[in-house]
Amino acid sequence: MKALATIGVAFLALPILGLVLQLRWDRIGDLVSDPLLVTALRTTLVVVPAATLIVIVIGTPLAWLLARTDGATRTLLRVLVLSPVVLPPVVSGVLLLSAFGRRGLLGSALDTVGIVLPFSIAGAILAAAFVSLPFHVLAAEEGFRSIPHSQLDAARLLGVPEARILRDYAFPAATRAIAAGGTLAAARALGEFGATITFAGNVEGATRTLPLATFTALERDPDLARLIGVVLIGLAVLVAAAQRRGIRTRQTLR
Amino acid sequence: MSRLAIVAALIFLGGCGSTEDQIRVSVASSLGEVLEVIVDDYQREYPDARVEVNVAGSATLVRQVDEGAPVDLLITADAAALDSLSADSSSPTELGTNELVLLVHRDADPPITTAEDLTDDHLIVGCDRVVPCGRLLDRWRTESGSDVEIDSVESNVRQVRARVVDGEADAGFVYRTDVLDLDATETSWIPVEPSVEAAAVLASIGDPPAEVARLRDFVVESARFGEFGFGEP
Repeated sequence: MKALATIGVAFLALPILGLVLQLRWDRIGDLVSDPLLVTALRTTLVVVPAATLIVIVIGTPLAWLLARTDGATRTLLRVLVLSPVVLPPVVSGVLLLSAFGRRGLLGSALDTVGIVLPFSIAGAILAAAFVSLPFHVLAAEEGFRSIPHSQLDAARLLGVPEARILRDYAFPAATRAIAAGGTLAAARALGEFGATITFAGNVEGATRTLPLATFTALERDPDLARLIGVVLIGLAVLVAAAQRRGIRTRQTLR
Repeated sequence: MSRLAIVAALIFLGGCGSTEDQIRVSVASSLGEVLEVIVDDYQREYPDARVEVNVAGSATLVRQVDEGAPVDLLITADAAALDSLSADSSSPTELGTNELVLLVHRDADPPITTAEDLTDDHLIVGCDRVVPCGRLLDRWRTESGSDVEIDSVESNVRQVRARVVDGEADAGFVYRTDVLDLDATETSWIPVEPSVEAAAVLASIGDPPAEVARLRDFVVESARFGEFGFGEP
């Protein structure tokens, strides 16, 4: 048991250790101010919060719907919600092109009014939201499902409208799950690469987020690519810490 | 647990054993199709030969070799791609020349009939300057004095082509050999002025054993490059 767990830890930790050991500290001064890194960091700091916000706004009602549905409808909805997790991100990018690309179902209509999502920061946000939506929906659904039915049924019996039940009862009772889901979604959006490069392209200052910058740097200057990798690890740690802090604050409130 | 370990070991050993006598060729995106045809020719002549082809942008291929990927022959879209190669390699042999052209989607608005028609309103794609087609684009921009802005930079020329063919981009800079087989109703292509050329090259990595040398000579002597639109080296 313990031996296997140790292998698991080493499996995850060794690559990170290797990356940190390969960092070129003598070049760090030049590398941290490299425009490739700086611009991509700025892009990421717009794309990830924007995608997370979209995910929470449309994902929470979707989770509420899922939590109140059963049977075949629920299975169908679940498969739909899970599809971005199961599909390779590059396929998600192809799917997004077929819907929102300039020749896509909706994209061609958008194109006629002058809105082009591919190659724009809106496209990068859309791609990140698409792949991270399931993480939030599944976590929030768990939260909604764990609310005792009796409370909700009592409210319904009193004739409280469904929208108010969500706002006044379900939402406050599931904030922890919703926050956890949002954090998971943010973490996924931070690491998003395949759907973004396929759907939104590699546009400096618009769609070149840190993962795309790593890919670009790998062929120009591998030392820079490693540093961007470390920056991404740092951001991931921040996201994880934010979640832990959030949970602790709520626990002490109780 | 132990059964799992045995299965894992078998998969691992199986993976190792099957690749020993294989010749591995890494080839730049613009030469992927012609090389696959040449490899088919080769395997018809030498049915026992096992050749594995790996296609990517030239810069990716060079990085893979430097990171220890087992590669016997390396084909890049220009000789400059090999400058950053630190592994031992033979001096490059030229296979054929190529030139930069502008691929245009029919729906481009305003219409594009020469490279001078490109505006900031068009979505224009091109290669990253770490790959040969991007270097060629840089050279053309310097020689023509064009100030065209590239919106999305791609890591290989086939991605540039795909963006234009799918209509996501209005125009893209690719090689002449990338456009010859395209459907002329969806896209058209324009030679750029002044014309800029690159020569694809082949180098062998390390000390090539006899069967690798045999494939190398076969590739160098192949007449297929002309059929695919490459110029005489």
